[in-house]
Amino acid sequence: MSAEAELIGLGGHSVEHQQLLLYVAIAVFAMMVLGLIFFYKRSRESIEMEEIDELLRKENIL
Amino acid sequence: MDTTVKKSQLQELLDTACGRISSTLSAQRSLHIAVGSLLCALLLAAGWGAAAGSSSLFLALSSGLKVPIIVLLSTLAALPATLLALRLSGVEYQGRRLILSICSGVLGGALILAALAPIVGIYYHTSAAIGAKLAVASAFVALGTGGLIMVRNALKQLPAGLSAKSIAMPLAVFVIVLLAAMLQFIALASPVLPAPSVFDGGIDGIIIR
Repeated sequence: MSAEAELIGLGGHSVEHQQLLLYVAIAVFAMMVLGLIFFYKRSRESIEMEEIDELLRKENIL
Repeated sequence: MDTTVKKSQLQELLDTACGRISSTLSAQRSLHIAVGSLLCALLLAAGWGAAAGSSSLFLALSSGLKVPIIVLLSTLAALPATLLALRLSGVEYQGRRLILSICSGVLGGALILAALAPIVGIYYHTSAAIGAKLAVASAFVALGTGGLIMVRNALKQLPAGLSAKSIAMPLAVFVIVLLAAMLQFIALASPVLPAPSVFDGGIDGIIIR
């Protein structure tokens, strides 16, 4: 690939540089989605536990 | 029983996006709804991406992945600056309330994208003149609606005695940083649409024309 053909990516960088950035973005996206799903499930569980505690407190069991 | 729980969770997310938001939500519940809204928005954005890139199977699949990447990463890129602006402004407004407003706005925008996805798909396959323009227009409508929902929800959670102007600065910072990040992420992920658009070159493509 000639030097001229390489300089067609974003910001004057090579296309390979742009491809690499896209792969990094995909990897970050995948990790963020997994993190969000994990957080969502954990917070759901703790909200349910809070609700059960509240219910038991109302019934004077705790 | 599990189905009922899932239904109520989805209903909760939609209620928040529709502005039925309680000002007495606990911190845990606010963040739970915020994260749920973001995840739901990603699924809806993937639907729009697949419809917008439906001219070929490869483009439909890649746009179905790229559009959620653009939505999530630009939102997350704008959050630190927004929270910093909120702290620096010295307003007694909790960050989690702002995060919930932002995420519900993102969900609202994604709902618009998903609702317009069928018409975008149909026009791509039947009109050469309008197809690409309609896709870009639907994205702008979604951005505008998402912004309005964000502002509405932020105002609804405003504590008594605090004026609407007090949170204008953090919200403005969010919109500016979001648009700046989104523009470059679109350029990075291009091609998202089958036809070239002015946004494919990022900020350079707009300034140097």
